[in-house]
Amino acid sequence: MSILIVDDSQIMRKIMAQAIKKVGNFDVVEAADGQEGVETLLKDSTIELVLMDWNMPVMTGIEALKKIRMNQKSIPVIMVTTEAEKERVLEAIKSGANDYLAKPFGPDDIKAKLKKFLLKV
Amino acid sequence: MQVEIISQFTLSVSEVFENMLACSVQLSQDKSQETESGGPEVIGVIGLSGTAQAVIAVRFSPEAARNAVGRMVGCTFESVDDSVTDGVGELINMIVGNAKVKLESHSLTMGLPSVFLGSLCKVNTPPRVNWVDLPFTCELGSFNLAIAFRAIAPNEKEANRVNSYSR
Repeated sequence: MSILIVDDSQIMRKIMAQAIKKVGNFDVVEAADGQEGVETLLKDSTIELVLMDWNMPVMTGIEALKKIRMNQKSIPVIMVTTEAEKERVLEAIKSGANDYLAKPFGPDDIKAKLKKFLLKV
Repeated sequence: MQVEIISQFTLSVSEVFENMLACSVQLSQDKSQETESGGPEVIGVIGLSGTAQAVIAVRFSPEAARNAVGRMVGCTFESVDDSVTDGVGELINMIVGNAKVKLESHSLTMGLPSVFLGSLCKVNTPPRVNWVDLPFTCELGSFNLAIAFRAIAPNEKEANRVNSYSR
């Protein structure tokens, strides 16, 4: 079982990957922008959850989310954002996000989200 | 500058450091840390637009930057490499994004972070805005948060709109 982390910050990908590894025995797949994230997801059938940053170059997280839903992918997508205002969260949900994770977050926050969507954790 | 603005940014710094670095910060009384640097620094900058015009900058010494980003990812950095600048960019991103959520009375749009490395850097403010410089200390070293924030009055926005139509 793999989790896809889409974030343009290598440091944030590393932080999230470390937190995920502490929760369970998951493989982590990484992508540096929304476009790479969509392409990776469409190619890799082992991915069961996506952690998607919002503000990224090339393709934003919300654009990538819409592309994922256009491709009939019902995989859980959690938007990761520093700007967790109500309007932004609503926009994400309307675009097909299953949940959001507000930055800054601690390891327990990631654990809670993984538990919510991957029940075997 | 409104006290509310300063206190929300101060709170945001505290929350980001607590959550991401497991580190508590204190506002320092040391006024010797000025907005213009005296030595090499790592500076993360983000602009805000909308109902306010703002630039926010976090300034670290190279050692404090290495310590902060090293704590965030659980490793040691011997120099200020791409990972450290990436980490400083994420820190200013989280500080400003978290503060933006708290500033509910404003409708703001955030830019992407930029990180600068060098000596004798000076970050200029937008026109008619002054810096408020907040020096912080923590176990990882000292750093500053510089805030230039000017709320735009509704009549000023209207005047700008009319001017842009008349050009």
